[in-house]
Order: sequence, then structure tokens, then C-alpha cells
Amino acid sequence: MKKLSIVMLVLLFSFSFVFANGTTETAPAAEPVVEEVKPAGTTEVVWWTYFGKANVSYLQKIIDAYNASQTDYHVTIEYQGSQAEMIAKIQSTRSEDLPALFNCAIENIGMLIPADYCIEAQTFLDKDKEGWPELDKTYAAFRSAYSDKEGNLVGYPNGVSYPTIYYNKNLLAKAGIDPMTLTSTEEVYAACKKLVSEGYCTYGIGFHPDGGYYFNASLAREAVLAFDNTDGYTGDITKCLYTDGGKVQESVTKYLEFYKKLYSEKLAVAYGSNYSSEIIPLLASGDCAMMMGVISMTTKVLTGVAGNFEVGVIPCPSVTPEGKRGGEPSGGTGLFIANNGDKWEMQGGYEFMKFCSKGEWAGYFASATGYLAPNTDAYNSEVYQNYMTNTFPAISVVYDSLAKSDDSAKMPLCAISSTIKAANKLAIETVANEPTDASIAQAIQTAQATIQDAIDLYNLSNN
Amino acid sequence: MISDRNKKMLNKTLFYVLMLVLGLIFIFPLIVGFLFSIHTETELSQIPLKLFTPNPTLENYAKVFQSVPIFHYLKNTLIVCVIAIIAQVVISSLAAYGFVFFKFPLKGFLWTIILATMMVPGEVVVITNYVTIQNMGLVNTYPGLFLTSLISGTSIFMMRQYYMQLPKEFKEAAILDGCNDFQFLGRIAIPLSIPTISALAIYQFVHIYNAYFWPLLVTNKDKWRTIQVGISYLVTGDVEEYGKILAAAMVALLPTMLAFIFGQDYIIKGMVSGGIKG
Repeated sequence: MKKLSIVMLVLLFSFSFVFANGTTETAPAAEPVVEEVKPAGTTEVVWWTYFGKANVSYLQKIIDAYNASQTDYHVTIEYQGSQAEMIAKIQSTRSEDLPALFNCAIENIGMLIPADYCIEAQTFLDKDKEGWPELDKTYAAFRSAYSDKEGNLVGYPNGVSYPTIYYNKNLLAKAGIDPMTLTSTEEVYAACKKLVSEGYCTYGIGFHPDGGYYFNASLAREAVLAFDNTDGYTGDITKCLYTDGGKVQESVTKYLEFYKKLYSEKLAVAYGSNYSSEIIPLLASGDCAMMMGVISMTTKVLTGVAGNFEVGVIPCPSVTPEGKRGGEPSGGTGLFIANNGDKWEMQGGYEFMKFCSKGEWAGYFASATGYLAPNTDAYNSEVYQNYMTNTFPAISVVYDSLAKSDDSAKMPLCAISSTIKAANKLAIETVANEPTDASIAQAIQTAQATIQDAIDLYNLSNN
Repeated sequence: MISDRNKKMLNKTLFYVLMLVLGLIFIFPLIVGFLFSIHTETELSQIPLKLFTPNPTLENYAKVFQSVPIFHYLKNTLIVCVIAIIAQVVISSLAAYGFVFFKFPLKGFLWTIILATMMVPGEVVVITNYVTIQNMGLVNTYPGLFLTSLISGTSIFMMRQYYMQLPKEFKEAAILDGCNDFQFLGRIAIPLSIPTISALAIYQFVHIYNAYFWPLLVTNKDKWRTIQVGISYLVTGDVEEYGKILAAAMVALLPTMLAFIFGQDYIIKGMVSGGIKG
């Protein structure tokens, strides 16, 4: 009976594959379309997003304006859960059922491009006879972040975030610290030490716990390429260089030493604390002087502080004072065209992407949400200038830095970016919990092994 | 010297005090959730965080009702729950009856299959189920939402455990009185199993009501969203508004709390009969 049961189970599982009849294969890359004449009628362009209701309501205003401005396309936005959930949904949805547009964090898009879930915006840009003036006015750091290894445009920022340090201006002034001198982790550590040891506050700094992202950003700021093939921009990544015995290892070690020193001397809020319910309240109460986060946290920070003191921001620090600091590492959310096989839907997605980048609308969204303006038109728009003047004047520091930025601050572009971020985060957690030199060495070894395994596995199964 | 009567009173009082304290401990997260839901967002960003606000406000509740169609989400959830629960009760009662009272080929093997489905975590099959639902063209439909909840191994198992306790003499007597199997099931077995069916219904209600990932996968449009997906819609990127989220959670909790309050006796009876005697 047992044998029979086993045989039947095996047969059942085998048949389930036959009956499931599902396919997650994506359609072949679509042909560029602009030369053809669009059929009459309005094409529905669906946009999947992980933005919640508040941001969707701002985006809806842009959508309404676009839908009213022409009759060829009609855009509809649909919420699809968190980013991870939305990516999982994209990966398991039949290509013909995919939307035309979707949001994705730029550091995660590498997971979708190689599998053809996403079609590069460059395909449409090449055929665009009207041109895209806002693209040329996009900050170099952002445009670079949204380009692939051949320099082709992948998507366009639709909520540019940016690693930064928020600080209590009054507290730093009282301690005699010039925030503009905090350009590297070493200087940030020295400031924390002064603030705490001289009794200005309990904690010098608190960290948004998405540490893997800040790890990548600081290395990018240092102009350190931690992976071969120029971090994936000149070919597929095949090696993680954390233990190369040279510049990368030195930078990674120094970066982790920053955490070691902070946590061994109890200068920082416990690593892993929730930024929203723990660190921002500490910042607001004056118990913590600084918080490393992203610029889209501005609304939350300003709400928490409630005008009790002036809040300032410092652009992302490099690892060492000698760090290149040429480019600004970019993050946040972008708008991408999903490869759903319907050329007119995708064309509509591209047209809407262009519309979103117009100064008036990109400036409006940035001012409503706290994200950065992606281009100079948006920055100069009336609505954004009002935001800068009346809501958050301190943000001008970021734009000063962006204006000087080149396109050299690159974060790895690859399909295993989530593994890289998770391994980096674990390395920081390890050192924060056990702040010793031994733990730094161990953390680097573990991160290197984890990432290398993921690279090897990915390349083995895809090449 | 304490008299027996006073001793009894004291014991009773101590027992109730202990029960009250335990009850408060269990319900404390809900109380905290409610109290914070009537704070302003600025108060929730302060340290020290105060449990009681001097200026309680319902603005978070107002924002929730203005932001999302929460009653529409509740309606969708309840439709899915009702259809799925009715289907589960009917199908599991019939299946369990068959397994207990009939002899048929491969009975042991089929029972093994049913038990095996209980050992497979839902997450493992969620994507294949989604692909199947897509192939059936049921995305953005009520059937897409409830189809995978119409039957479960757990329900059949619960009902089978109950029917196994029914004395065989009941059925023999019913047959002698002229009942066929459907009549025995409808007139005797099911009425006797009301506590188990109620426990099953409440258990499944909570399970389906709290489902998040499946409704998110099989629906794209607001029209078809359920309550848990609706609540997640209130979270926006790096700006978490706890007051609003807690207010929505409080509203969403009401149906499940009511289900527990009114069905707690059945849950206990059902679990005891299925668990201990089964």
C-alpha cells in the first residue's frame, strides 16, 4: 500500500506540471514602434506601482493632466503591494497581462532587465522624432544611474531618493561643528564623538537600517568599484572584490570600522532601530543629533521635529576624506516600461514617462513628497522653488552638490542586487553588534562569500 | 480565622482578578493600538511616547475613510469569506462523511493525499495557483479571490475527526428507521456537529479575512481589493503615518473581533471535540 501511495504521489506531481500549463516566459523584446501609425482610438496604459495612497493621489493629478492633454493614451495607476511583492508579481505574471509601466527602485532594476521583463526606454528614445528636452536637463548623476552598461536609457526617475544625513542645526552649532565639513565617515565619527563626549546629546547618529544601500552608496561616493567589469556596467559581474587585498578591501574595512568605532564607544542609536518610530523621535527630542536616511524621509522628519529646531542635510559622505566625491549616488524609484508585447501600450508608457519629467509635474511631485527634482526644469519650477523657500530651505545643499556632480558614482548593476544589499547589511549588523576588528574581518569574508556564491549561481544558470 | 464562606469568596475574587489581569495582558496590544490611533502624527513622533493623549482626535479615522473605500474593501472581503466558508463546510462535511462511513478503493491513499496538502505551506503553491488563475482568466474576479479557499485539508480533517466520534449505532438506528446516507448526514450528523462546523467557520473566517498576498496577486484594481490589501495601501514609502494605519487596523479588526466574541463558545467546543476526543 505504501509503495502504491508513493507511486501515485509521484504520478500526481508529474501530472500537475502538465495540467498547470502555466508559463512565466516573457514575450520577446518588442520592436521599436514610432514609425508606424497608431491605430485610431485610445490605448489604455496601465501603471503598476508600490507607492501608497498618499503618493498615488499626487501622481493621479499628473495622470489626470496627461489624460486631459491628449486622446491617444489613457493612463491608469494600480497599487500592487510593496516593491518586493510587486516584483514577485511581475515575475509570475504572463507577459501579455503585464502593465505597460511600472515603478522600481533603480538599484533593483538589474533583477528585471536581464530576464526581459523590462524594455529599455532607449528603444523608444531612438525613434522619438519630437525629442525629450528634459532628458538633457537631467542631473548627470541621475541620468547615469538610469543608464545601462552601453549608456542606454533604462527608465526615468519618478521619485529620486538620495542618501543623506539629517541633522539638528542648533545642536551642531552649539557644539561648534560645521556640518559642511562632514564629508566622510571619519569626520562624521569625529563629530559624533564630540557631541556625545561633551554632553550635547545621548547619541551622535542613528541609522536607517536598510544598511546595504548606504554601504553601496558610500563606496560609490568613494568611486570604488567593488565588482569587476566596472560594477557591471561594461559586462556581466563575475567577481566580488571585497577581499581583493587592495583598494576595495581597504575601503570596505574602513567603512565597517566607522560602525565599529561608533558602536564600541556607544555613540550611535542601536543598529536596527526603526527610523520612523525610534530614531526620528530621538532626533526630534534632541537626544540624537543626526540620522542617516534618504531624502524622501523629509516629510516624516519635519513632522516629527514640528518646528522645534531647524533641520539640515548633508550629502552622502564618502568612506575616507580622500574619497573622490565626484559623483552623487542616486537611489529611489524610477518609471520603467514593462515588456508586455503590446507596442502601443509601451509607446504610451514612454510618452507618459516624458510627460512626467516635465518641469511643472516633476517639480510638483518632488515638492509634494520630499523626493528630489530629477532635472533643472523641475528644480526651477515655481512649485518646487516655493517648496525650497517655505518648507525645506536646507535642501539647497544637496542641489549645490548635485550641480558639481559627475556620473562617476555608480552602484552595482546586476540581477543579484538584493543579495548584495542583504549581505552588506548583515556585515554592518555583525560589526554593530560585535564591534571588534575580528568581527570586521569575519563580516567581510561572509559578505564576500555570500555575494560570490550568488554571482556564480546566477551566471551558471543564465550563461 | 476566615470562615469557609469568606474563603470561598476570597478565592473567587482572586480568581476573577487573575482572569481580569490575564485578559488585560492579552487585549493590551489592541488597547495600545486604539489609544495611539487617536493621537496626532506629531505626537506619535515624540519621545517619550505617551499612552494617553491630552487631545484625543478622530482625525486619523476621518483620513482613512477619506483616503480609501474601506467599506468597499470590507464588502469584498466578506463576500469572499461567506462563499468560501459555505463551500468549505459543505465540501468538507461530505468528504469527511465519505471517509468515515464508506469503504472504497484507495481510501488510505486518498486520505494520505489530503493529509499531505496540510503539510505543504501555502506560500509554496501561491505562484502556481496564480498562474493557474491567470490561465483560467479569473484575475480581477470574485472566483479568482475565493477559488483556492473553497476546500482545505484542514477542514476535511476537522470534520472527519468529529464524525469518527459519532457512535456507529446512530447510523445503524437511522438506517433501520429508513434514513439514507444524505438523510442521516442532514438530519443527524450535521446537527450534532454544529460546534465543530462553527469552529471551522470561524477559523476559516479569520484565515481568509487576514489573507493578504493572494488577494494582492489575483486583483489589480481597487474594485476587487480586500481589506488587508486596502490597509497596506495606506503605507507610502518612507513616510509611515502610524496613526492612520492604526485607525484602519482598528476598523479592520472589528469583524474578526465580533466573530470571536460571538463564536468563542463554539470555537472552544469545536477545538476540544476535534482535538481531545478525536
